[in-house]
Amino acid sequence: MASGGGYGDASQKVDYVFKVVLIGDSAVGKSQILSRFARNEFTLDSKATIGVEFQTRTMVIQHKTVKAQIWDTAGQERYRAVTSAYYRGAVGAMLVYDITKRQTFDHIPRWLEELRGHADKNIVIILIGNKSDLEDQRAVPTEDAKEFAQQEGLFFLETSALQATNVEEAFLTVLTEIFNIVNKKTLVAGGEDEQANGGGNTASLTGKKIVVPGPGQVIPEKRVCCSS
Amino acid sequence: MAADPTDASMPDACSGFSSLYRNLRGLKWRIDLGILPSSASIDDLRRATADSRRRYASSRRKLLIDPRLAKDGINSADLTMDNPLSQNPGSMWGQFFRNAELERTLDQDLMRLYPERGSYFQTSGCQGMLRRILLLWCLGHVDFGYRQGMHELLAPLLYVLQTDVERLFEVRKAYEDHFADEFENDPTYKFDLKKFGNSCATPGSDPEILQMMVSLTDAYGAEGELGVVLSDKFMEHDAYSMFDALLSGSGGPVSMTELFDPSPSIKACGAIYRLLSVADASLYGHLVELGIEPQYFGLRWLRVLFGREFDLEDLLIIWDEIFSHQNVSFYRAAAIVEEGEEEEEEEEGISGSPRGLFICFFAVSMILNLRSQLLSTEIPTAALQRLLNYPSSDIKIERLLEKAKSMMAAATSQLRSGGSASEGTTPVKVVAAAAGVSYWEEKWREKQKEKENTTMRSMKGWSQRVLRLQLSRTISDPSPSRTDDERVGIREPSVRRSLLKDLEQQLDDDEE
Repeated sequence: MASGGGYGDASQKVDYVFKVVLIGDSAVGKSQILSRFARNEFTLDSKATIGVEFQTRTMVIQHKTVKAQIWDTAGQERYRAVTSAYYRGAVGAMLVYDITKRQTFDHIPRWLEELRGHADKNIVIILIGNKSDLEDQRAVPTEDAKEFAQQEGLFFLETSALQATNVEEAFLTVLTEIFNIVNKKTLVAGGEDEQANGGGNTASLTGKKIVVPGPGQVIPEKRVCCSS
Repeated sequence: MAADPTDASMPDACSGFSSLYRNLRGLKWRIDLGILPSSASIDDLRRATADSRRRYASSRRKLLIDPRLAKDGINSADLTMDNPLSQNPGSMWGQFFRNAELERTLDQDLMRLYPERGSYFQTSGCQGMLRRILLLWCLGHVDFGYRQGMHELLAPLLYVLQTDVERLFEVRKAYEDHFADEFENDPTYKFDLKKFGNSCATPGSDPEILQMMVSLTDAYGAEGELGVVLSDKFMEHDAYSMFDALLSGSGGPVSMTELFDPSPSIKACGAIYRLLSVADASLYGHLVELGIEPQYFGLRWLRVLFGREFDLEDLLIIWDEIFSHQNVSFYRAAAIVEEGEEEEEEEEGISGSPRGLFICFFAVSMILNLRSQLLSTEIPTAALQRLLNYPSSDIKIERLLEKAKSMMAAATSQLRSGGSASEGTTPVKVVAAAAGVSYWEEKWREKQKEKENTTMRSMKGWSQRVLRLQLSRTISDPSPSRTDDERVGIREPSVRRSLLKDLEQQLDDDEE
């Protein structure tokens, strides 16, 4: 149950902590994507998320150690009591829908609106069509989602948490992008220094120590990719 | 009926609950949740049972419409309005489609309900009952609707009713003769459920208990079959009334619906921290320092009443304890809050009744249980992960409950013996936290202590304490009667209001 769970060493030196939030309709597989990424697990008997949950996983990007702190919340979040706390300090967001349920895709603009209303405006966003293993039940054509992502300047991938398809890639896309943006900017406080201070804040819940991408950042348009 | 010598004097004589009591948990909960009267004749019990079932049946008839089955010439006379393509939202078909949509949402969560106990919860019979109950509740509370987590509040209720019925079958099988036609049952038989709870008898071994069981299953009494208190035919009806009482709170400060709304739920989480700060200031300070807001973990704990943190069997024991505390406002019980003073009551929040206070103390007990682990880490994510992945496997649930109960007892005894509240800071704080007073009031109280005996202000502070003391006395009375309430309620509500205003004013002055 420790962070990373054998999937990264918890005690290792951390250069960056990136907070990423998962959002999307109920039952699209947000928690499954998270558990696939953080623990390489898929539970057939998962339950609806209540309140918030989170997992961490440490990975190496361009020889730097990055700790991803992924927050997950209930899909039915019109009643979120933790909106501001949830988005506070988030530098990445994964917008998830279910490729077999059209409605979950149709709701994506609403989620995007909420994201833009509450999160930092330079947050890196990836659109994710989950359950790509259920090709025979597909209700959202890849092209539709790709087009939408291009319009909105989002990354896009289709994933299958069940088959572990593209989950790693999706997170890496977001984290690498954040990493590149952060790296381009001059860091206010070097990652190593933080660690030298005893690591007290290396995993701050609000991600305050993270340099948020500046206003000049442009989300690359051509980095859109898809699985099929 | 003669007084029972085991009554109250030796409640734990047979290691906690008696087997019978444990076996009929659903019955106990129906009483605790206020659906059945706690002390009544069997006929009264039957009537209360039948009434609640009738209410459910009638709303089910009214709200769960299947237009395809509508009686000719009654509902579907106007085909221009009631047809499947009608755009009129008020049409029977419009309603039908809305219900279908809601049902899909419910199914999404019900499919994921207690997968580890799928052999019961995932059966079509159980799923159907849960779906209908939730659907009906949501249709009856359109403004509120369905919130994720409600299904997990409902599931244990149905489960305990099912368990009751199964136990009953066992007993019936073992003592068949007793359950044969019981025309000779004494209709004036008085139920003493305290005795019921404290008896050490195994089902059937005590003739009196057996007689109770027989009465509770007898279909020949008042209301006939609809009045059979323990009945497998009306589990859905009974579960609904329990669920509704739990969600609405039946007028008490703890209504689970509130915990699904942002503002009250965050306030409730704040109450947990307030009590923690009294119980263990250093742990509280540590968590605050790490930036761990109580709602990060508290929302889930409270919304499903700890259902996610414990295994079902343990959860039932926790709920036994929670429900056994009354959900009656400390103030209302003392008739201090009159009609039209709703805002006052709202301010008390979750810790405004013994039940709510116990829920908060239990949460505090859970945090305290992780004390050393939490204090040993300086990494916020690590600490939060401990709180979010509550270790339920290696935990002694009894210890958590004991701790919560002892804190509860300390707080209420402080309330009871108002005099000792002036002896030190901690008791005062406990009283303040226990009564759910806000931070400024507590601060004011501390300041006040320095000037005691001299000013009018301290007199007011004292009178407030006495007020609370009286409140708690009323609460702690096992069966508060109307006359008690009236006696304590002699103080004018307006007096209390102006007192609070004075306090606020005072604090402002002091701070300037």
